[in-house]
Amino acid sequence: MSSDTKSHDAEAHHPHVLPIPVLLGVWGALMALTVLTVAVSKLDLGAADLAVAMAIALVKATLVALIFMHLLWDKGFHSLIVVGGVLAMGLFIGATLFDRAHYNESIEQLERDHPSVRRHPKAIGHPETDGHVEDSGEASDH
Amino acid sequence: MSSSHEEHAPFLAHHFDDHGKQFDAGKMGIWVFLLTEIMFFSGLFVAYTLYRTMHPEVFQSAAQYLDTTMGAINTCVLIFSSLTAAWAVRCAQLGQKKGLIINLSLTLLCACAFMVIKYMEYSLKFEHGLLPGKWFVEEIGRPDTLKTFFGIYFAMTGLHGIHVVGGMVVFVWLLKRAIRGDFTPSYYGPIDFAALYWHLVDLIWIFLFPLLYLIN
Repeated sequence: MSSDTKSHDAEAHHPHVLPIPVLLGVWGALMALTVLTVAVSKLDLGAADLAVAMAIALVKATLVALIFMHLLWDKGFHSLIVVGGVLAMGLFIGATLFDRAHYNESIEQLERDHPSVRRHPKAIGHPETDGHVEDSGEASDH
Repeated sequence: MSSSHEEHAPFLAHHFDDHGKQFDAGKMGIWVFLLTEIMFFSGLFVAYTLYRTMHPEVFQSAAQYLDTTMGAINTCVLIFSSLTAAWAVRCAQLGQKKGLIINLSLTLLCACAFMVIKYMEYSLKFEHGLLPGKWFVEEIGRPDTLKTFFGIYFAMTGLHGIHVVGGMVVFVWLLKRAIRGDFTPSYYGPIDFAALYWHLVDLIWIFLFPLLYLIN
């Protein structure tokens, strides 16, 4: 049994070893992208700001997952697990946003009817959100 | 472990035929664990997305209270630690004991540096009363909706920080085993799996940094 184990050891799986230039190359790319994302955040791109920042983060994440985490050379099943996780997360966020958009109307209606349950009960420096204007006695409904 | 295993490879569990099978089982296990971690964090990302879509102005006013420089330094620290973690795996695969010890130590050191910077950031927030919910200190010219932003900020960076501390514990254990000479080219699963976990911690920070520190 002992020699059997040894022979297994000798022919152990052949792992993918990352060459040093690849390791350093990925690190360099990640650093460059970090500098880029900070530089871009100083520009005023309006609504594109968030999209650009997320796109850069996604490129960085892909580099880490595919190379540092060896997914590129690993079993497809492990990539499937990651993709499944990301899709589930997208569904989670997407469904919540969809739901929120769907009920937006009724939430706003509720806030109009019951100023006391406003999301901004008090915003120092923003007196216009205090809601005095709409405070016309309906709060006594409940 | 038990004496009956002495004649076998010391770290090959008896229910596995060989190191390759043991490694594959462990690797699938860690990927499933990472999946649960993605799901774990996704709840907080949902909270973030929902609150940001509802109140973009709160995030804009919050941006000035976060220190981009400290966040950027921490990003660099974590990226470097990801490099050393990946390098540690390479050393373990090639049986380079000295390189493995150096890379594990560097990874651990970066994790400590990350937590020190985080501690400095948190101290400043505490000092200025920028805290979640009922602990938020109200000041003139500071919208009190910030307390929800800081709830999200502390929940996300806090949970991430706990993961960094968890990684530190694992790296101390691995360092001890590496110095003892436990790892060989046929047995290096723990190094590989810990590195995968560490890369995920880095990945989450890669998203947290622009989402929290780079709001224009």
